[in-house]
Parts: sequence; structure tokens; C-alpha cells
Amino acid sequence: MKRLFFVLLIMMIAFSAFANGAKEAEAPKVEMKNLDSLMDSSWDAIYEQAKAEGEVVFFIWHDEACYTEIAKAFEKAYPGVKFNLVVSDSSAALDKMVAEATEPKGSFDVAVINAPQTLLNADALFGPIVQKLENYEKLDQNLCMIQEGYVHNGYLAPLYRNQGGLLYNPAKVPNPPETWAELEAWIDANPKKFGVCHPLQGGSGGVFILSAIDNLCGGLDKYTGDIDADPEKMANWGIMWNWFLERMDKITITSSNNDSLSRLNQGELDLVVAWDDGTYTAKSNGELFKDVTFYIPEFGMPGGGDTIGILKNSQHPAASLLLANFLTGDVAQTLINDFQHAYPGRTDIEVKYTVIPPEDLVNRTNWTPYAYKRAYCLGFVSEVLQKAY
Amino acid sequence: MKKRKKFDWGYLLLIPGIGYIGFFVIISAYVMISQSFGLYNAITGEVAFTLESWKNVLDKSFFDSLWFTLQISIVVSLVSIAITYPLALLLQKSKARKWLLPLIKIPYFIPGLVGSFLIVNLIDYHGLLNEVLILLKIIKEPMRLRNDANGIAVIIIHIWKNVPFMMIIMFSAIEGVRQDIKDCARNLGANSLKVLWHITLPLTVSSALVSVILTFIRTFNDYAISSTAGPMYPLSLSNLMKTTAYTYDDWTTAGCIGVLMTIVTVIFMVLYTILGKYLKQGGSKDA
Repeated sequence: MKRLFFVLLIMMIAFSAFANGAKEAEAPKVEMKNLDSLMDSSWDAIYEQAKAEGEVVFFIWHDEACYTEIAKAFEKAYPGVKFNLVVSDSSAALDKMVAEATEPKGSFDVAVINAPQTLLNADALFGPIVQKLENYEKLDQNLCMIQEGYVHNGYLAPLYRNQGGLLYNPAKVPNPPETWAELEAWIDANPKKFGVCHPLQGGSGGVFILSAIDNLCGGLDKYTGDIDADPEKMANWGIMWNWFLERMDKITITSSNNDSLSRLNQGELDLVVAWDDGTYTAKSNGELFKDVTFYIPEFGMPGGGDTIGILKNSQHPAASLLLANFLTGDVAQTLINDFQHAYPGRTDIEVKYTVIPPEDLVNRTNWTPYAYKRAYCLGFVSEVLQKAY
Repeated sequence: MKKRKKFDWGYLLLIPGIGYIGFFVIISAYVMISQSFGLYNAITGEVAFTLESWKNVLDKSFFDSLWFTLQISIVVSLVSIAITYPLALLLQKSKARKWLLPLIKIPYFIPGLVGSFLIVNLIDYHGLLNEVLILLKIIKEPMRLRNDANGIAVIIIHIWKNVPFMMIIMFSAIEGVRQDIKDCARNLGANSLKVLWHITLPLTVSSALVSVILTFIRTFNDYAISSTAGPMYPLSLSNLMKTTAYTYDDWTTAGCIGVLMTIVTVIFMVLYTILGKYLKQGGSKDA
């Protein structure tokens, strides 16, 4: 009886091995190409290779719920390619990408990028990629070439756009300031009721500093394209630092973007600098009262956006390209507005959820390159905080 | 002829412990020191000896942070012991100590970050503290305690967190004072205050100093509480180190700050050891 059992077991193993072998023989063999070669391949061929690669690793640092939905949609659209979502601290992930740039295999395939200069200087990104994407012409063309004032020449594809603005309590601020002079007058008349985030602890702080540079130091256009901060162009920033110093006893510096919203909600502040998408999400979650109003004042506030890039040492090149294409496609771009409440990177997608009045979009200004961000963050500490406290 | 000492194989049992200390403490300290001189770079791998960061680190920002962190640590340590000592004395005599003591210890087991968020809600602009003070007509306008320049919120949270920690040490110390010594003093005519001053206090002062120094070190090295409730400027030293590394991408200077923080902590550890030994000797003489 035992002998019969062993014979049957061996037969079963042999049969299953034969069946698998037959299956492998039936499956078409996919020629595995690298990112360079894939740029000339059709999207069908890219999908075939992506299935053979099996998965793609995507990094982002915010709005996990939104990207979980996008992951489900991706896996539904492309069965056989698993979407691995990594949500973590952006600075730590950026350091990891730079540290791995010289390695043949990296930890991430596709990442949302907020520091293009750092990654491109480290030669960590593959590109240019935007022209390969099916919806290239519908993407925000400025963001396709320039992000945060840094010319990336199509290495990065726009994922979403965001906008800095002023957020106020209409019950307390019946006539919100539109010009820089009106803002100054409002701050003087309402000490400690205007809140702006520390630029090291939230991007909305940088938004306001850039507005101040724009209005007090001769515009923002002259900085575009600079790799390093030009001391000559920053020579008159003292005017802007003095503007802050003169008003530090009337301005409340908050500890994060959300802290500004929270203090507005509590009634501690009446007018704050905020992001459009953060405001919409806070309003819809009930963390902000319904009457709170967002606008881009006439004196201008910068808007930008974040992009996606493919890591040069991606372990799943075809799946990476497929995902980049999907993220700029109709489904993902619509989900970004539905869940993240940001303007999509595509200009043709209907924006259902936003707090930005369409007529205010003309007041949108551009960012300065990363080198200046570092300069104004350091300057805010040394020229304002150190002297004020 | 001197006999060669036989090797004791039992020392090998120390390997797991020493290995742990060696790997995680000595190696990481070595990496941090190397980093401060530009000889280690985990991000780009590019290394070159430099003293530039050591020249730059000792700027106004660093000294403001050092002074702020020292001030907070000293105030927290002293206020905490001032609260803990009488509380421990009262609890020792209280009948309700069986359930009061575990209750007081709760904050010790709550992570600093969680505790920080809880307290921030209490001291916020429309938090319980401000609302009660307005209700009692003590203040007219709510106080802005969160992220205040003097670090009052940080001090409140640290005290909330450290009093239970001190209580664990102090309650055991006070309870350890032998009852027969106190009875002797009473038989000789000492009242409660004299027993406290001449018996309990001298016998527990060493524990009090140990708990003060340990609280000082815990507060000095804190990151979580000062990052949530601390002022916008100056930052605590841990926060300054994190900001320098992650926001300014200046890991070499961050390494320098780490080395300086370690030096300050080591100074206090040495002080703690010397003081402990001194008080132990004095304590045994007194006894």
C-alpha cells in the first residue's frame, strides 16, 4: 500500500512538472528591454514586458487614500502588474534616491518629485520622458519643462498642480486685502491675526516669502533657470527681511501648513497663507468651517505643482513607463482631483473639486529655483527670527 | 617567575552585550564624528576632510539653541523634582496610594509625541486652560502658549512626562528610609518637620539628584515634544540637527551638532557618576 502511494505521488509530481513546462513553452517569450530601448516600443509591447516584470514601486509622501485608489485602478487596467505604494517621509526618500543613484538597482521605480534639481544633479532620473506619454500635449506645458523654477527639460511629467493663496474667515474679514499695500494695512490694523507658516516647516511659508520678494524686490522672473543662487539677484532681499522684522510683533508664525488652518479654525487667526488642495481637504473633512474662503490676491501668489519621474536604476523599467503613462491618463488624473482635491497635471480634465475661484488664476505667479528656496529659508532664520527673538 | 593567568572562558558570554554596545554605540559615534569632518557621507558617498562645518556650526543659531535647550532642561528638572518630592512624601503616607500611584505613573508610559499632542490641545488658544482662566476672569484674552517663544508649552509637557518618571525613583527612595530610624528621632522629641529635614531628606537626596540629572538628560535630548510644541526660534538642539540634515542637506554640520550634543550629555553623565559616588560616601557616613 505504501509503495503504491509513493508511486502515485511521484507520478503526480512528474505530471505537474510536465504541465508547467508545457505552459512555459506555450507562453510567448518577452524580450526584456531597458528604459532606453523601451522608448521606441509600443504601449502593448511595454505592457507585455511589464507583466513579465510583475510589479512597480511608486513613492509618494502624502494623500495615501488617493494613491490607494489609483493603485486599484492601475491593477484593474493592467492585470498582472502589481502596484506597490510606498508612502514615507519625502526628505528621507530623496536621500535614499540620491544615495542609490550610482547603484545598478534602486528601491523605487517611479516617484513623485518635489526636488528636481537634487535628483537631476545626482543623475538619478531617466529621461526625458514626457514626449513618450500618450497625453503629453494635454499636460501643463510649463510644468513639463520647468518645476520650481528649475528647467528639467521633460525629465518629469506633471502629476498635479497646487496653488498658494490667502484663506480668511469672512465673518471677521469683510474686505480681504487684494494689493500688497492693503495687506500691510490689514496686518497693522489686526495684530497677530495674520498667520504664515515657518518656511522650513511648510511650503505655504515659502509661498508668502516669494510673494514678498515679488512685490518688494522686483519680481520673480529674473531667478528662473538659475542652478545656483546668484548673490547679485538677492542683494536687495534686505528690503523684504526688514518688512518682516518691522511686523514680527503683528504676524503669527505657525508651525506647519495644517497649523495655520487649525488656528484659523479656532479663531486665533483671521487670515492665513494656505494651499488650495489642503484647504479643500480640510473643509471636506470638517476640519475647517464651511464659510472659510480661499483666494489668490491681486498682488500675486506662486503656484506650482509636483511631477513624477522614473528612476534611472528602476528594476521594472516597462512597468515604470506604463505607470507614468497611467498617472497622466484620464482615470488617475480624475482621481487626483476627486481625492486629493488638487488641480490635475492635465489641463483638459474637468476640475470638480477646488477652492480656487477661476477668475483668480490670473494672479498666479511662478516659483524660483531650489537654490533660492534654500537661501530664503536660511535667510528667514538668520535675518528675521534671530533678530526678532 | 610570575604565573601566567589562565584565560577565563566565561568572558565570552559577554560578547552579545559588548557586541551590541560596540556596534550600535561606538560605531555610530565613530560615524557621527567622521561625518562631522566630512569623512563619511551615506548619501552621495563623496568624502573629503574638512573643518569648514566645525567653523560654521558655532554660530548664533547653535548657541541660541544650546542656551534654549539648557534652560528648558534645567527648569524642567528643578520644577519636576519640586513637584515630585512633596508628592512622593504625601503619597507614602496616603491610604489611597495603591490606586493613586499607578494613576500618576500613566504619563510615563505614554509616548512623548502622543502626550505632546494631548497637552497641546489643553493649552491651545481655545484649549481647556484658556477657557477655564477666561471663565474665572483671570485673563481676558486667550494666551498663545503653543509654540511660544519662551518654551512654556514645552516645559509643561516635559514636566507632565517627567514627574511620573521621577516618582518611580523618589517613591522607592522615600519608602526605603527605615521606619525605626524615624521612630528613634521621634522618641528623642523630633517633630515631623525635623524628621523630614534631618532623616528623610539626607537619606533620599542622592536619589533626588540622580532623578534630576536623568530628567535633565532626557529633556536635553528630546526631539518629539520640542518639535510639536516648541518655539519657531530657537529650535531645540535635536531639532536643529534634524533641520540641518534634512532641510539644509548639510549632514556634515548635523554631524557636528550631534557630536556637541553627545559631549554635553557625557559631561552630565560624568557629573552624575561623580555626584552619585560622592553622595553614596556621604550618605553612608551619615548613616
